[in-house]
Amino acid sequence: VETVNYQHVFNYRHLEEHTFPILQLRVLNPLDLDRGMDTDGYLDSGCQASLFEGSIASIIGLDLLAGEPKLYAPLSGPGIEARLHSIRLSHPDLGNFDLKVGFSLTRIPRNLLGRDFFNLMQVGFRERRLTFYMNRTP
Amino acid sequence: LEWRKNNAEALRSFAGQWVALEGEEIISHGPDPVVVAADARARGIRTPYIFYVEFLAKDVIRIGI
Repeated sequence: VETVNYQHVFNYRHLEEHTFPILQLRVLNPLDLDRGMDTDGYLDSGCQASLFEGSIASIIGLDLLAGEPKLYAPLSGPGIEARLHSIRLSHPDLGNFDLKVGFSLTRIPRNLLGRDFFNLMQVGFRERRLTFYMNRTP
Repeated sequence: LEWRKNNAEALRSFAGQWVALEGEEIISHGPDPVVVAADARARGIRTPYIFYVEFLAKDVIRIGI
């Protein structure tokens, strides 16, 4: 069994009435780093690829519809249409990550950090302690 | 943010809206995050923190999207 020594530990975030493994990140337009916003990303290892609320693309100066189309399939119901865009995610402790993520064409209430993000970060959960641990993937 | 934990009741009145928070002050809120962001920037917040206030009944479980 491999042992991992994590460098960063975070508490689950208490949002309104419940707790969630959430990372607050700065979302930046890589072509215009002055256009950014801070938002919450839910760590979701069951999500194949990250999906963000589409308005964020507009807020950071991206042309939402110009991205490559993708359809995100939920557990049931119609899929969520999205467009892929390259963005930079930034965190004061973890550093910067360049990632291509989907931005939804319909309004979604939360941003999901999926397995593409987990490919950049090694993540360990300790649910009983409501904490998660992170390392940048070597 | 600790603020959101400590102000859960106050945030309840913003359910279904997007909120721009700067420090411990709500800078802007509304149904359209683009407008909320623009409002926050107009108030001098270069990189606003914006979140959606989602209050669900206690018997509702969130599963991603």
